[in-house]
Amino acid sequence: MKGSGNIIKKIVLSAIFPILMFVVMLIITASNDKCYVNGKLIFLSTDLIRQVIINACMTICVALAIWLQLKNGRFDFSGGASMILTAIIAGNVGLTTNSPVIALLVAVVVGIVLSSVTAIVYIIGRLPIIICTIGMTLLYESLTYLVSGGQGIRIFYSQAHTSIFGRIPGVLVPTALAVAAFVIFTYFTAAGRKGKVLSNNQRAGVNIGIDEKKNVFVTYIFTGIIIGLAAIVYVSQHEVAPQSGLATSGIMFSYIVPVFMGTFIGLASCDVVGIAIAAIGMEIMNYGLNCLNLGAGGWQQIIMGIFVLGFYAFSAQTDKIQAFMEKRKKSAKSA
Amino acid sequence: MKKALLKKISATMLAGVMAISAVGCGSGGNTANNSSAPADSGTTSSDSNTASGDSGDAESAPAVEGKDCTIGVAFYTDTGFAVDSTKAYLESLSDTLNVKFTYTVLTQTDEAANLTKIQELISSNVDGIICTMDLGMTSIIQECEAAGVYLGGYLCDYDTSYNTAYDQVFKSDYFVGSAVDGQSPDAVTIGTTMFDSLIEYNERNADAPITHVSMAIFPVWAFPTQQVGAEQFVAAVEAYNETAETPITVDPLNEESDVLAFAPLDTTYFAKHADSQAIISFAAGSAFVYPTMVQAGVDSSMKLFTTGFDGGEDVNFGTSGNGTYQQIMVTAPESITYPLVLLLNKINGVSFSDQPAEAERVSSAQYLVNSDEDMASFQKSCFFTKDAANAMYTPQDVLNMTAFGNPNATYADLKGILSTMTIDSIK
Amino acid sequence: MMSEKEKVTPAEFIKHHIYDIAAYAGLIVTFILFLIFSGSRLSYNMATVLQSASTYSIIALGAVFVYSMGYMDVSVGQQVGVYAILMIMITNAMGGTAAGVVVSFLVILVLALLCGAFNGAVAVWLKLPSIVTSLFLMFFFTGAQLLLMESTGTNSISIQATIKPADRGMYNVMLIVAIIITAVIVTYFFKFSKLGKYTRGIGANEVTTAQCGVNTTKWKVIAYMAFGVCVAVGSFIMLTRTGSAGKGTGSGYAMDIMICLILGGMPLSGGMKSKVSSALVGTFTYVLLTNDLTTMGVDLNMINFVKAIIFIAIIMVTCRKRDAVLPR
Repeated sequence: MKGSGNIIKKIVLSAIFPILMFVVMLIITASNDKCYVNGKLIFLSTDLIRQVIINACMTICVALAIWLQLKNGRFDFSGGASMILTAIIAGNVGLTTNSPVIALLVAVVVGIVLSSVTAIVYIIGRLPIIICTIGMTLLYESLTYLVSGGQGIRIFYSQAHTSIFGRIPGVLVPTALAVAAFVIFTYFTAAGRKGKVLSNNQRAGVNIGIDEKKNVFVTYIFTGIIIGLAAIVYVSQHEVAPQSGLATSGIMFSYIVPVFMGTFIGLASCDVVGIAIAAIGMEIMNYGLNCLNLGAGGWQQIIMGIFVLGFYAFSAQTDKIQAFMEKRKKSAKSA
Repeated sequence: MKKALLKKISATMLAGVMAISAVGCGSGGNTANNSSAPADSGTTSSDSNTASGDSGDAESAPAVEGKDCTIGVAFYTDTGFAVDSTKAYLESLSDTLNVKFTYTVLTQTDEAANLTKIQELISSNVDGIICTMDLGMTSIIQECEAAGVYLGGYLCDYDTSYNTAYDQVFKSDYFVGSAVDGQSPDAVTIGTTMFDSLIEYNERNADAPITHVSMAIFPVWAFPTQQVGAEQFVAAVEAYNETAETPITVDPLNEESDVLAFAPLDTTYFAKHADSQAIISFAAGSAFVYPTMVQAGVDSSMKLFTTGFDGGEDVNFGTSGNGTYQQIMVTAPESITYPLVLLLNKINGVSFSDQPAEAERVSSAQYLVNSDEDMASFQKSCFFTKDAANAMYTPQDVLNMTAFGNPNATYADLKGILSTMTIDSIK
Repeated sequence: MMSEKEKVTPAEFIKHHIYDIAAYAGLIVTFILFLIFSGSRLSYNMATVLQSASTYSIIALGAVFVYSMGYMDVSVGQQVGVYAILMIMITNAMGGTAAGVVVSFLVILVLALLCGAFNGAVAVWLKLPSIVTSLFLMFFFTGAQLLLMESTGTNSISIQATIKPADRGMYNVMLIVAIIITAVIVTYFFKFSKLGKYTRGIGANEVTTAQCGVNTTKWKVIAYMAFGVCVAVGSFIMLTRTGSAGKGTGSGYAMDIMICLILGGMPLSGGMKSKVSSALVGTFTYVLLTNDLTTMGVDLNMINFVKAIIFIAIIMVTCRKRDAVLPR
């Protein structure tokens, strides 16, 4: 009984964020004339569900790739560049072969190769991770100009038969695979468990005999798989142009908010669920903002900024909140 | 401690040495350039062109071959059909015209970055520059004047400079004029062109004509012609509806959802224009409208009439694929011939007998592709194939357009070629 | 300390100074290429390099305070953009007078100081990593830049006052003086005042520094404010170049500054090895490298690749750590 009660509690706690977001956006859009067309509230159209699912799947894939590294104590700057380069290569192969499945396989392979290269440079170069991954970002970005004649990939996403992994229901396949890869690594591999030790106390971990290099390499291989899956979703939804000047980090940053929010929401359950829930909540917010015509431009940036700061400020106080809750529990028990 | 100090001193000195020489040269270079660049005639800078010293009054003595020179081309983007086909075309002219081309890419929003790019081009010893952006032009033209380098425009109407800095830019001896991407703001016809394409489509598809359309434009501050075009389109539809059996409805331009601030169309556009069957996009539709159509799954149910061509549109054009695209429109890369010839004339110290006193911005005819036949022709163009063998002009043709290659060449002829670059000219 | 120094052999010297040697070697190589490929326009090109390096170097000099603490600020670019636009707007509103220029500069100086205080203090109060507050400022200023430009209804606005000497030589002198003054002041504060000592201390070990009785919050705020002053001055210098600003003004500066500092041998983790010279060496290496690749006529599509390879080669030498664990 207690177990099932706990699960229900976890579900409710996790679902609070998107539900709250939905209610808030519903109230805001319903009270705004701009959001009505022919008397119908556009926020409540079926488009909402489709857009939220499609965008949330994309966000989940990238967020998991970012989180897998962060969780292991590394901030990998090059994730965005790997994804874009992978997307261009996989998209072109998919277009030539006319097969989205081959594109998916190529994406995963290229994702793994690029991630392994990053890992090798990091391990052999013994460079600080941010500096190393900035270097790799510059390298991968420069390669986007050298593959497929510097044209990127344009028409992969616009043809129904090639872009199945960017639409419903196909988009759920790479997303599910990405979640599976994340879960397998975190909970079912020795590297994942050792990674936790290393992220908590790197030196102690190495001292008790963990082979850090091997650990880093395995982590990067799994990150590569997820990046490949993110790339196939990305190239199935967007045209991908060559990038330069660390612009890919901007693409990656645009998916980073759900990572942090997800880890906080995930306190109630686990990080994967938290990230998925956060992504859904964020996409509901984005859709609402679009209805209000605040989806792009200055105000969206400012709202986003305030949101990020507010959320961080709140989540930074979690220890205090938890301590407060514990205290209340104890006092309730003693009473 | 001492060593650290020593390092600092040496760092400062290195920077200082460069800086001091820059000052010296800044002023020295200035005078040198001033002395070598006469105030009112088209001579070249002396520092890059060994043969240019005697070019002072060469206007009356045309040569058959142009001097060896370098022209820098500053593109607005680094990839794409327009860039690749233009490069292919220019490279094909290189030997006959004795011109070496060098390329750079400007930003679309940062004046200081653009100034640096132009300065780097000048530093790499170019004699002329063809620039595709009107951003930071007053400071750029000052640089060109100081260095004795001529500047021409391509795919750009220089509207900001035209309206706010005409004297500094258009009256400068170093600005030769620009070939506009389509019509210049004082000669807009794009609205009626779009309307004609729509009517042609309806005639071809009499059983299922488009009767309800919506529009998309870029902001007025960036592309004033698009707002004018949209108004023209609405007026044309209204005039048509007066006599038409099946009238066409145009959703009025919604300030917030239909004006794209260089961000893709929003998915809520389709909810806001629920009954629209086609989007008339004056803004570059393949990059800013089509992706959202695909994302929202309306690409097979709605049509798109737009400007621009980024590659891949042909797959879903007319009766092919999803048939989303029903019109695309691009300017021929060969229109770069206009600023190129004017720059070469200046560099060679010659000019046309009918050369206007002030630089002009000249409209270009465009490839209007709105049927399968047009697309078939378009696919043979230099733009599409990126192959100069398909260009409208051979190197000899271009040499004949210059004042030094052909004493009978005129400015009117040169300007005239811009109006001939239509889809029919490919057929 | 002294006895150690006396025993240093050339091999040990090279081993200990490999970062500096690589950084300076980078600068020298780019400079030699610059001399070779500038050809007959060497003098003109020197002014070009000076002009592009002026803004970077002034901001990078200020960034030394922040980076020496092991922090970074990703909002610099957008701040520069907004400050440039605000200066133009305020000056033009005051009729393009000299007083307008002064007032507008004071306004952006105050804003820059406030942003500095925000980055330093709010991060401490809310217990946030300072990258988060700067991320907020980045979003905020990106939005503000877009909204300000939308309010003007144009793509680019120009200042109506004369802020640049008409004579090119004079202008170059002005830029050099600005760089030298900033470098001298920053060197003084970084090397000989408490500010530099404490920021390096915070970078090396914040807890220890705090336990030594240093009010780290106060010095963080001061360090960020010092950076703010340099950002304001840098924005003005940048504005003098074109006299105009737009939506993209300043974009990419945060990353460029970071790359400059890395090329100059600045450890991103901060600490005692932080140096003011990194800012100058790195900036000039970066600007010269970009310039060289253009004057050498390297293919556009190859330029980024060459830059990336050079960057990786330099960091492989300068940033390599010899710890038992992999550096983070």
